[in-house]
Amino acid sequence: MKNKKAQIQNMETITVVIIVMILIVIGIVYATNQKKASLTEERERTKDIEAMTTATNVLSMDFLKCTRGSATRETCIDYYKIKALNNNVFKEENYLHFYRLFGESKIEIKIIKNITGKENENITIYSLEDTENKTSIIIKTPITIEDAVWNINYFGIMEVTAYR
Amino acid sequence: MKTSKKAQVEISFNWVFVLIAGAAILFIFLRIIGTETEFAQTATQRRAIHDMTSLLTVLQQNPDSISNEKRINYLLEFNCNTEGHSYGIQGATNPARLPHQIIFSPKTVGEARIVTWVKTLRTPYPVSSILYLTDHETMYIFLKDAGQTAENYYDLFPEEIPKTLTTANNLNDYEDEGHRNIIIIKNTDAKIDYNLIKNNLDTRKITHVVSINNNNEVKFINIQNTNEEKNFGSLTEELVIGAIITGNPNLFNCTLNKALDQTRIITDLMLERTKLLNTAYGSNPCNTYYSSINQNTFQDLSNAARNKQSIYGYVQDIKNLNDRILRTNCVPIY
Repeated sequence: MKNKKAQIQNMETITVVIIVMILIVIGIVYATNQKKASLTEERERTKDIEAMTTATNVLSMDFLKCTRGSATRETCIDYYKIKALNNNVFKEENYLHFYRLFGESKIEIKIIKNITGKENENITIYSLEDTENKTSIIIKTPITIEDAVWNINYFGIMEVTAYR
Repeated sequence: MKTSKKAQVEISFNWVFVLIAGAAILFIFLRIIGTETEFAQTATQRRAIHDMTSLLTVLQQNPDSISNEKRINYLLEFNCNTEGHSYGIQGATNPARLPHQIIFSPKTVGEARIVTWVKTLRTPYPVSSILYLTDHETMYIFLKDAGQTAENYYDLFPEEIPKTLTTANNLNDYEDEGHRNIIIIKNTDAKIDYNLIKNNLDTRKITHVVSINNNNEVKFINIQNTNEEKNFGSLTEELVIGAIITGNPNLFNCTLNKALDQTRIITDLMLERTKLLNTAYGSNPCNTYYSSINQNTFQDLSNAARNKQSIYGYVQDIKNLNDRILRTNCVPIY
C-alpha cells in the first residue's frame, strides 16, 4: 500500500516536472516566434528604404548632369555622359562600384525625339535584374537630355526599377 | 527499512527537481538579462545607423551646405581595417560598413553637437559628394606661416567648426578647453617644437600633426615619433580638407582610396565621352579639342588615381583645357 502511495507521489512529481518543462518550452517558442516576426517586418522595411535609396542615388548622380564649367543644371542629363556610362558600367573594374550604388535594379532612360515615336531612343544605363520571387518599385522622373554637339534638348523619362 | 529507502529516494528526487527547475529559471533570467543588454546596445547602434543614413540621404541633396546638427548622446567610432571603412557605437560587434561613401571624420565623433559639411569632390568635374563629419569636441589648431597655407585652410573652414589660428611659438599659451580631440595643421616648411606639444598638450587627444605644402601635398607626422611620417601625394582642395578633418592617416587613407577609385571611374567616363564627342564632331574644327593628345590627359589622371598617386597636376591640366574650350563655341570636355 505504502509502496503504491510512493509510486503515485513519484508520478505526480514527474508530471509536475514535465508540465513545467512544457511551459518553459512553449514560452521559448512563443518568444522566438515574436522576435522572428518583428525581424521579418524590420527586414521588409529596410528593403523598402534600400529601393528608395537606389532611386535617390540615380537622381543625385552629379557626373551625369549637364555642366558648363563648374555650373550644374539640375534635372538635365548629358546625352554623351549616359552613352559613356552605358559603355563603362559593366567593365570588370567598375562593376562593384555601380553594384554598391544601384544594387539589383534597372535604370532606363527614354529619350523622346519626336511625337511619332519612330526615332525615340531607349538607353539602359544599368541593369541587374533578379526578378525571381521579388517585387519591384518603379520610379519615373521627367528629365531633359541635352545633346550639346547639335544643341538640342530632348524630353526624356528616367525609369528606375528597384527590386526587393 | 524499505520505506526509509523509498523516502530517501523521494527526497533526493525532489532535490533533483529543485535543481533542474532552479537551473532552468536561472538560465532564463540570465538569458533575459543578456538579451536585454545586447538589445539595448543593438538599439543604440541601429539608431546611430538610422541617424547617419538619414543624414547622408538628406545631405546628398544639399551640396555645399554646412549644418550644426543636434547633440548626439552616443559616441560613434570610425575604423579602417582589412574589412574596410566602418562606424558604430563604441564596442559594437556589428559596425556599419561604408563601402563607397566618402566620409571624412575624426576617429571618434559624438556625445556633443555634431557638425556636417558637404562639398562636391571635383577633379575638376563633379565626382561625388563628400561629407565632412566632426563635432564640438574636436578642436582644429591652424599654425600661421609665411606661405599662408594653413591660414588659407583656416579661412575655408566654416565658423561652425571649432577652430583657432595661432603661431607655432604661441602653442604653449594654448589653453586646453577640454576638447576630446585636438588636430594641429601646419605648413610643411613651418618648424614646430614637438616636445612643446608633448609637454603642453594631452597626447591622448592629439596623435598626429597634419602638414601641407604649397602644392597641396599632405603629410601626417606622428607626435610620439616624429620620424614616422605618412605622405600622400598632391591632392585637390576637398581632399586636403578631408585630411585636416580626420587628423588620422589611417582613416584618411581609407576614405582617400574610395575617393580616388571613384575619380578613376568618372575620369574613364569622361574619357569615353571625349571619344564620343570626337566621333560626333567628325571633321569639324572643334575636333582638335577631343583629339587623342587631350584624351591622354584623362588617361594620365585615371592612371594616377588608379595607382593612388598625385592627381593635382592632371586636374589642373584638364581644367586649363576646358577653360580654353569655354572661350570657343565647342562643347566643353566637362
